Amino acid sequence: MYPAPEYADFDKQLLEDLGVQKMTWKEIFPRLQADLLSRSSRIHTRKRDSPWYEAFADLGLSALKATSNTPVMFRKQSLICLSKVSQWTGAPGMGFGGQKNIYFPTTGTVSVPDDIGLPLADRTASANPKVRELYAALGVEECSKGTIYAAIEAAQASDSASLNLNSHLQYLFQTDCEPSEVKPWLLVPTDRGPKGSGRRLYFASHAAYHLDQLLPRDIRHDNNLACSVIPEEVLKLEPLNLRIDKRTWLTWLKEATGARYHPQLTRKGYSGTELSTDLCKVVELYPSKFLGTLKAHWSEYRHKASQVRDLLKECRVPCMFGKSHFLHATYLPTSQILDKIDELGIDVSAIAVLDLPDGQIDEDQYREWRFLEDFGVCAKPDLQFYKSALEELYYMDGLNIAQAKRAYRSMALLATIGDQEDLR
Amino acid sequence: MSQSFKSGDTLLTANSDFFLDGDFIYDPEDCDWVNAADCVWKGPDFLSCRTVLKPFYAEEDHLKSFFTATLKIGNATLETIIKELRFRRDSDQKADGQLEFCGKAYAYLESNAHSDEAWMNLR
Repeated sequence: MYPAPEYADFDKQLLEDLGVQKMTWKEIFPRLQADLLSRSSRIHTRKRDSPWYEAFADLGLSALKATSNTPVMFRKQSLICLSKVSQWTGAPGMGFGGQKNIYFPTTGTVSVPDDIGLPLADRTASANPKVRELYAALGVEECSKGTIYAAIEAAQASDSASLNLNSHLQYLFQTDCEPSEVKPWLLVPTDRGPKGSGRRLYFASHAAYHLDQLLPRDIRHDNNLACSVIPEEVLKLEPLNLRIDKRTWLTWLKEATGARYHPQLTRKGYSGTELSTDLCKVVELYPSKFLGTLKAHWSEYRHKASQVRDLLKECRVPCMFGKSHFLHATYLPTSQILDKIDELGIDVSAIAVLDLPDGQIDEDQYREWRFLEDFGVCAKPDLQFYKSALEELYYMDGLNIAQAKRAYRSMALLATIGDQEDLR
Repeated sequence: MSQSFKSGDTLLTANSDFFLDGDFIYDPEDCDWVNAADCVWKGPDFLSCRTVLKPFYAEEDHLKSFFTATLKIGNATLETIIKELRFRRDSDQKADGQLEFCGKAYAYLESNAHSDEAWMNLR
C-alpha cells in the first residue's frame, strides 16, 4: 500500500514517524520485472510522455544513481522503447543480444530516417525532456550526422524499393548536408522508380516549356522514354522559401540530384557535341513546342548553340497549314513576309512560314524570335522566297502578267541591293 | 526544279542555277513559262523559238535591268535568226507561212549584218 499522491508535499519525517517506510530497490525490482512480463505492462503501455511516465523516469534516474548493483540491474531491464513498433530493449552495450548503440531519433529538431538500419529510440519518449533524460542516462545517444549519412547511403545501395526516400532527402537538406557529397549515390523518387543523379532527371512542372509538359507522362510512357520526373510531392516536402544556410530546398535538390526543369541543349555524343536526347524527342514527338522551347530557354541555350548550329538548322519544324520544313528553309511570320505573300497573290502554304505560338509577329515579338536567324530563318523575303513564289505561280491557274511582274519587280529590287553589296 | 540557296546569294551568282535550270520566265503571249536560255530581250516579232521579252516588260527600268543585267538575257543576234531558220525548216509549218517568215528573216539579216565577218558567218 502506498500513501495517496496528496501526501507528496507532506513532511516526510512525520510520515516516517507514523510508520511509512521507503521501499528498497530490493523490493522494487520484483515489482518492476513482474510488470515488464505482464501483458498489460504499465511501463510498456502507458503513454510515454504522460505524467506517470515522467514519474517513472524520475524513479529510473534515482535507480541509476543508487549504490551496489542497482544501476546494472536497472540497465538490464527492457525499459527503452525503440522506434519500431512494440520493440523494447535494455540499455545499450549491456551484453549478449542487446543493442550496441541506441540513438535518439532526431538530430536537433530534424527527424532521423527510421528505415536506414539505425536503432532509434521512440520519438514520443525522446520528445519528453524527463523521459529523454532517463534514456540518455541509460546510454541512448545522439547519432553523428556522418554516421547517419553513411547509413542512408548504405540503405539506398542495398534496397531502394522499400525505403522512404523523401525522409532521407529531408534529413540531408535540413542538416545542411553538402549536396555535392551525396550526389554520387543519392536516390530520389521519380515516376520511373528511384533514380540517381543524371542528365535526364527533371522536376514535375506545369510550365509549358518544361520537360514535364514538353513530353507529358503519357508520351513518355507510350514511347518508353528514359527521362524521369521527380513528382510534385517531393518539391512540396519543404517550403519553397525555406533556406538552410544559403540554399533553398529547390536549390539543394538541384545540386544534389542534377535535376532540372527543361532539357539541356546539347550532350556529348560519339561524333562530338549533339542535340540532347530529350530535345530531339521534343522535335520528334511534340514538334509544335520545339521553337517555343528554344525561345523560352534561349538565355541558357545561346551559350552552346554554336556547337550544334548545323544540327538545329536541320530540325524539321511545323509551318503554317500543317506542313513541316527544315528550320534553315523557313521564314518568320513577319508582316514583310505575309504582306509580300499577299501582294504576290500566292497561297501562304507555298512558303515555309513558321507556325509560331504567337502567330503573326509584330516588331516587339520579332526581337524575341530573331535568334532563329542564326539558323537560317529569314524575316524578310529572300531569293528562296521568290523561287518558291515563282514555283507556286508556275502551277497557278489563271495567272496574269501583273502577278509575274510583281514577283520579278521584287526580285529585281533584291538583286539590286545584293549587287551593290557585292560591289562594295 | 527545286533549288536551295544560301541566305545572301544574289541573283548574279544564282543565275545559272535557277533561271536556266527551270522555266521561270513568264511569256504572257503564250501564257506559258519558258527557260531564260530561250529568251531574248529585244528581237524581231517573227521569232517562234525564242520569247522576246521587251514588249511585255520594258515599261519599268527595274524589270529591264532585271532581265538584261541580272539574268543577262541579251538581244537577238544573227545566230538567233539562223537558229530560227533551222527550226522553221525542220518544222511542219505550211509552205505559205514559211515563205512569209523567210522574207522577214532575210530582210532582217540584210539590215543587221553590217560586217564582212558577219556575212562570212552567214554563208
